[in-house]
Amino acid sequence: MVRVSANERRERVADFVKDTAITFPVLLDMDKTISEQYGIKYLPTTVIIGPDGLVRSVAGLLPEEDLRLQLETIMKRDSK
Amino acid sequence: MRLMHLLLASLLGTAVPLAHGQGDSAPPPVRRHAKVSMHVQIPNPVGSKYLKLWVPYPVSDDSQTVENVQISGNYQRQGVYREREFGNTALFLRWLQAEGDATLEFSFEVKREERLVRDFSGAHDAPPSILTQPFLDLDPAVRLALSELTASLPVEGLTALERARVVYDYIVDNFERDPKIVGCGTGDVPEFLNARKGKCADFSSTFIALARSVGVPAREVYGLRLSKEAEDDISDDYHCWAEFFVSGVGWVPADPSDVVKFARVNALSRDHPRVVAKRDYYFGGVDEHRVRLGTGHEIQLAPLQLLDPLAYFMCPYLEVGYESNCEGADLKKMNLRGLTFTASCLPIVERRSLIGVGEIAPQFITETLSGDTYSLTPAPRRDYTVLSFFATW
Repeated sequence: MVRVSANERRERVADFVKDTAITFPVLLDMDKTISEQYGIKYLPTTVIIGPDGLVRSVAGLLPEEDLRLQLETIMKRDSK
Repeated sequence: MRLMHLLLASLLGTAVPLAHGQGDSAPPPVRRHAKVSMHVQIPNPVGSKYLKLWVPYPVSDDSQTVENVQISGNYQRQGVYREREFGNTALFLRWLQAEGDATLEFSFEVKREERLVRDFSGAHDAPPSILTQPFLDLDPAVRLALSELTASLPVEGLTALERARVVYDYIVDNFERDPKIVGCGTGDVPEFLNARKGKCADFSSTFIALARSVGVPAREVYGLRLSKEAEDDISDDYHCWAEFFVSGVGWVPADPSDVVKFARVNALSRDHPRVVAKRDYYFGGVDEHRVRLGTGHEIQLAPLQLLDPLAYFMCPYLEVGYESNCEGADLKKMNLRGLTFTASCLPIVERRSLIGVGEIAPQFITETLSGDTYSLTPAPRRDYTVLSFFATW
């Protein structure tokens, strides 16, 4: 999992990551190129992409348990 | 397969429900969005009583949506008028006893789609109707100039659509584009037949005249090219093409001039596969990099101009009135010292809609907070990827 920070200064993102103890990669999207490629309108937005490169799910806020459940459902469906 | 970093974020902010949509497998229509701005500055000619300016005023139709029109300047009268015969719309401005320069800023945004007519399954030949008859009229002098050529075209027994194609191919195969000619050319058919070279007005007017001479209704279309550059001066980018009418189908676009231009610019023969592709494209199609301004010929503007009808109405037309006479020409030809006319194009990038389920996730390479490089590589990948777009606020 990676998190994408859009249009925000590096220092501010660094402080945020430090405060929230995020341990996975945080990507910088200073000029919003990635956000625009994905058409992101609201934050947060969570996009799940399959190994084949196709989008499996697009959602807003996904608490840990919900995301885990969604991923399991997707992978189970894909393995059929 | 495994999951990449199954770690969870406790995200900030309020969750916003988002629609889950299936990806659309059909390719999106080829379209574009641009802002066109015109700046006109006319020095007050010595002894003039008034200035009148007609600016082609684009309107929305099946292929373009015009919006956010803005007009400002130091004129005393203004209005948008539509003339009766061809339906051309003009922004009309009048300056009375102007002190100093007359100024105008005119801008609009246009969302434009390429126009493609490819389904001719409903085409049938029908006798001229009250609606199509005017588009078969030909000036007697032009008809006479075309008579020998018309008789030589192999159109006997062909449908209207096939006759239009014969005319189109004849124009593409037998005339050259001459970049030295100023503007769009005169659109004088006998002159073009004789010179065998010209510009878009010459190509389109001759296509129209020949189509009419073999019984296919046809008409002119005047417009302005939208630059593909980030920002560009398009003051010289007026362009004309044609439309012909097929019963059961409607008006069909054709742009023989752009086929010949493509061949010339790329130094390719007419039978080169790339030129053949363009030839097929522009018979029934025009691209999205243009805005339609009007149609017709020998145009009587509204409000009526004092001088002769206009051969075509593409560029703003100016008349300067004096005590006892009037002079007029389009702004590109008006010989007034200090006259400034520019038109610029600023492409507008539309934001795409939220990516949907089933769509291909765009690849990207970017920097991570720790200074590494991260790339979402092309599929197939080993992992599932979760992208969490977030804000710190």
